[in-house]
Amino acid sequence: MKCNKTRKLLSRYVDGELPPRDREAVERHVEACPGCRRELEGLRADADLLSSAAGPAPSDWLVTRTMAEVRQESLRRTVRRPAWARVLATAAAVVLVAAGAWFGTVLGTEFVRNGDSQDGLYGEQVEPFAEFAAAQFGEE
Amino acid sequence: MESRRQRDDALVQKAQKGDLGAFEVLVRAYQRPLFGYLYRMCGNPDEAEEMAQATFVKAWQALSGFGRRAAFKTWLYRIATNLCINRVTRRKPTVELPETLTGPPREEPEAHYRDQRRDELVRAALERLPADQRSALALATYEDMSYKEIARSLGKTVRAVDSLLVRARQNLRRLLEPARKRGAV
Repeated sequence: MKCNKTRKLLSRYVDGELPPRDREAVERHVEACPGCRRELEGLRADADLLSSAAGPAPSDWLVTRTMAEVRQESLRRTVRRPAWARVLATAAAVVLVAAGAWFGTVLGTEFVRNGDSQDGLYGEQVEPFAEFAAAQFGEE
Repeated sequence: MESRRQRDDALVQKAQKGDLGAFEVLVRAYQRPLFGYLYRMCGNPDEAEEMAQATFVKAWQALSGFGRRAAFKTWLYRIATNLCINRVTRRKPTVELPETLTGPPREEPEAHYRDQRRDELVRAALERLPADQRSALALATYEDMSYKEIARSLGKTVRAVDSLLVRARQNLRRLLEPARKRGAV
């Protein structure tokens, strides 16, 4: 393996990302080539420097604050109905009103046809209408 | 023995059913490394903490859509990277590159002083890398991720990750050269 190709592989070699055959070829070349060996040592020294640089730790409050916000978000999701639920609720309301109106019409018609005066909302409403209808159009 | 991936998958499954306790276990497990990554990206601990919190909250919000085909870890870091990459991309470096190390103050133990200056040097050098190179290098160095994991975390191909790391290391070498010549590192 030549220097040009070896140097292109050194980054992956340092990260342990080379397949075994390429890894062995790099190692053989580096053993014999001072220039590439210096390059590899430089990469390792930079990696060691980066690794050794300590960063600060997060505050003790990070988890507490995060979970407080997550809990709030969770509550918001429970209270707020999704769009599909709102549409379904509206559709259900429309169906109920329509069903109520249909039943009312059917029951009212039955009262008129039978001439019964029955207690109840529809009966009370229909009886006066039946008299009005008779007055207007005459009994048959 | 259960792998980390298996543990995470079990916790995610519970959290997806609304188990906040399971989600908190994930937050505790990842808070320090995630904060560390975001600190390397932005150089400011308060900002890193703010972004870490935002990352976890976004993860919670999107959890129902997480299919568990990828690992939770790489998915979490993807959220974090998307959150911070735009913020830091156009930002100018805030820290001077300490090219010289003077002698330690009389009252400071030398090792402590050198460690502090070393950390400043690393932070300043990282800040000068383009954001995508910085994120790849931070994930390779501090999170010990494979190229495949880094690719998933950054939304890139493995080949692109390789290229980013090669360029990041070349740039880092150039940035650290003056300090090395002076024997500072």
